[in-house]
Amino acid sequence: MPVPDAPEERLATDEAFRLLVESVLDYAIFMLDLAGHVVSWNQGAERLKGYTAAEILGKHFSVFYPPEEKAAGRPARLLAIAAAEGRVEDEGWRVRKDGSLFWASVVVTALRDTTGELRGFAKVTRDFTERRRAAETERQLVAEAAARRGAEDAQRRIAAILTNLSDGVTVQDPSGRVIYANDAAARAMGLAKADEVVHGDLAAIVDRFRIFDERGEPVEVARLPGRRVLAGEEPAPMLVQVEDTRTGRRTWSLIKANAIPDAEGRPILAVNVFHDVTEERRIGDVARFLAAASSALGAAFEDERSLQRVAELAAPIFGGSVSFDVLDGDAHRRVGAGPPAAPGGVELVEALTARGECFGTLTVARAGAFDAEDRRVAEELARRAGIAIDNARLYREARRAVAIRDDFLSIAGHELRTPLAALSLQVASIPLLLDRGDSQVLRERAEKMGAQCRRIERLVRDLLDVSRISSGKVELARERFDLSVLVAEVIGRFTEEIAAADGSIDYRSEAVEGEWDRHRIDQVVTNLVANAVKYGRGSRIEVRVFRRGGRAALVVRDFGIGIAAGDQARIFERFERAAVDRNVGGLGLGLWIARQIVEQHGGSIEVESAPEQGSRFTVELPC
Amino acid sequence: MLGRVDVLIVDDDLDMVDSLRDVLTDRGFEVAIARDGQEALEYLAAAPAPSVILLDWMMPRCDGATFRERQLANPAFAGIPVVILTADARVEERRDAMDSAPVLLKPVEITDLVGVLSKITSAAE
Repeated sequence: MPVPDAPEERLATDEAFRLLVESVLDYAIFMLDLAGHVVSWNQGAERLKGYTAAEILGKHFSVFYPPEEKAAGRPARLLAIAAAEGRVEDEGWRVRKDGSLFWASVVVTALRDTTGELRGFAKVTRDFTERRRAAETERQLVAEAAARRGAEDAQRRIAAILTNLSDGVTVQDPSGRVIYANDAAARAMGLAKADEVVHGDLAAIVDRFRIFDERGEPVEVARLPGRRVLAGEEPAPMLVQVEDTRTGRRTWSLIKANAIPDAEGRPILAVNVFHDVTEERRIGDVARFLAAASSALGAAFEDERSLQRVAELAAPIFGGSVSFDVLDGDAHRRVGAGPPAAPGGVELVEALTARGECFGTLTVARAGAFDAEDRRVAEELARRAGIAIDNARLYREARRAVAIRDDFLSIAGHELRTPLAALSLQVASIPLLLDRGDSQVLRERAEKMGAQCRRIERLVRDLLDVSRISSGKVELARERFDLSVLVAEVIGRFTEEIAAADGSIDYRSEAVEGEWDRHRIDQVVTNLVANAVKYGRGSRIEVRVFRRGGRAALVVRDFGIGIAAGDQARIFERFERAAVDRNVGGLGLGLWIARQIVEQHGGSIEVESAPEQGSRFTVELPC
Repeated sequence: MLGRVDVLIVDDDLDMVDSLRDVLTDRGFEVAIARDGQEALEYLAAAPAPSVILLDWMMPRCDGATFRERQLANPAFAGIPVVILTADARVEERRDAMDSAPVLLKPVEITDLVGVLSKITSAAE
């Protein structure tokens, strides 16, 4: 464009330019004097800001600014910057004549004359409100999308955390309905999926479980923490036992609940957290139980009572019934505790053993299956009980053995003292008799003393035999001989004694040969005849030897004091006579020894007797 | 008719009875024998009272304690002195039942036995 040089031309050009500017509608273009007063105004400015040229010319441009900007000195600062730097750009809220705001994009340019003198400012303003709104909306959309993504991520994360949590979590609405449950909660309720809790039949789930407090008292659903916080109570954790009525299995759970309130602070939801403390309880319980069981087993030697106590302690640990079956010889004892096993329940059986011998069982019965820990506890209990029962048994046997020995020593002392007394009296008379020089009397006394010595000898031999037979050290030296001959010999040894007691003996026999231990059978016959003499009280004694059904039979019968029916079985027991009747002489060993010898030969010995009617002993030996 | 004896020996053991009879007879005592408490009571009922009864404690049928009870319950026999001769070392535990009768333990020294019996029989004469 050629530079206008003629003033008219320039004027014409200026005028055209002015018209151009004034006709621009989309931009507010106006000029300010040095102080900031509006000195020109175009149509765009009128349209944008609502002022007519007449209204605004001469007014300070700060009227376009919101009061706080004006107060902050923003209009003046913009002019100062434009003056210093030539131009300044700005964006911000501006005020229309009607007071409404619009977002303005502003360029302020310093106007200088040819000498460079600052003469005023040109200000071009555009309305960016729409543009800004669009940008704002977009920004909001982006932010919202990001927020949504974040929220979804957070939700997924929370869901994942809740799902993987080992504690059960449920959320209840004020009616008690479960609106959320995680997998752990579902598992605790015996369901596979959390959905089944939320959409399943809650009443059926509730019915399936029975809840007990720490002391084992039933707990109403209304007393559970979730319901309590929904009822506005302070949250308090609660330890409960939950029994699954289908399996009978009990678990321990620590329940905590918190309320989620609405804006008014009313609880609208309850969040329940169930922490399964069964293992912790169990470890503690088992340790306590085993310690208590050990002390119960160790404290009392009366194992019946202590076993009963242990069964009582064990029953709640296993949540079922616990019983001990103990074999004691042929006797079977059973002690137990706990509820009777329900039909269809399961049993866990452990052997009671000690020193390689099994003598009983421990049985645990309950509705639900057993796990490795149950088996471990049962095994440990059986092991300890086995040792304790064995100890109790050994102790009992030892005590009995000591008592028997004490008794025996006392009887032995008594029985040895009597013949010794008789012998020592005779010996003490010898000097007197020697002084008198009566050799006939002396000879008779010497024979008596000899008999007394033999009696002492027999007693001592019996004592040794008891010990030998008891320890199984007797071996039979069998040889062939005629029993009737042996019996005749034994009777011969008693002739004098029988005569002295004013008794008589009637012996009838037939020859019966067999292979027996001569010395031992002699002992049997001697014991029987000696008894007949002792208890026959001077009566007639009948002795018979005969063959009966391929066996040799020996019958020794007296007509003396006899034996009461109740004592007949006991007379064959070792030392039993002591308990039956301490007043009868002899060690009470003869019949026991006789029975041992006869039985070792494969034979039998029996007695028939009645008080004051005498006794009839029958021995049978295989030939 | 039975004559009055010095000592009634009550014992179930044949050897013991035999020896007691021998040694007491050797020393001039007149003796009678009962094989248990029952026989002794029967003897007392039938014969003049002996100067002393030498009583074994453990006997079948009627033992020393039973005999003593019945003897003391019968005014006719209660005054007869009794010396207990027993092999039971635990005799002290049963002191009451013996009712303060002197006790000699088997085996007994002949001097002790003769000493006790002589004292009682000479006092009786």
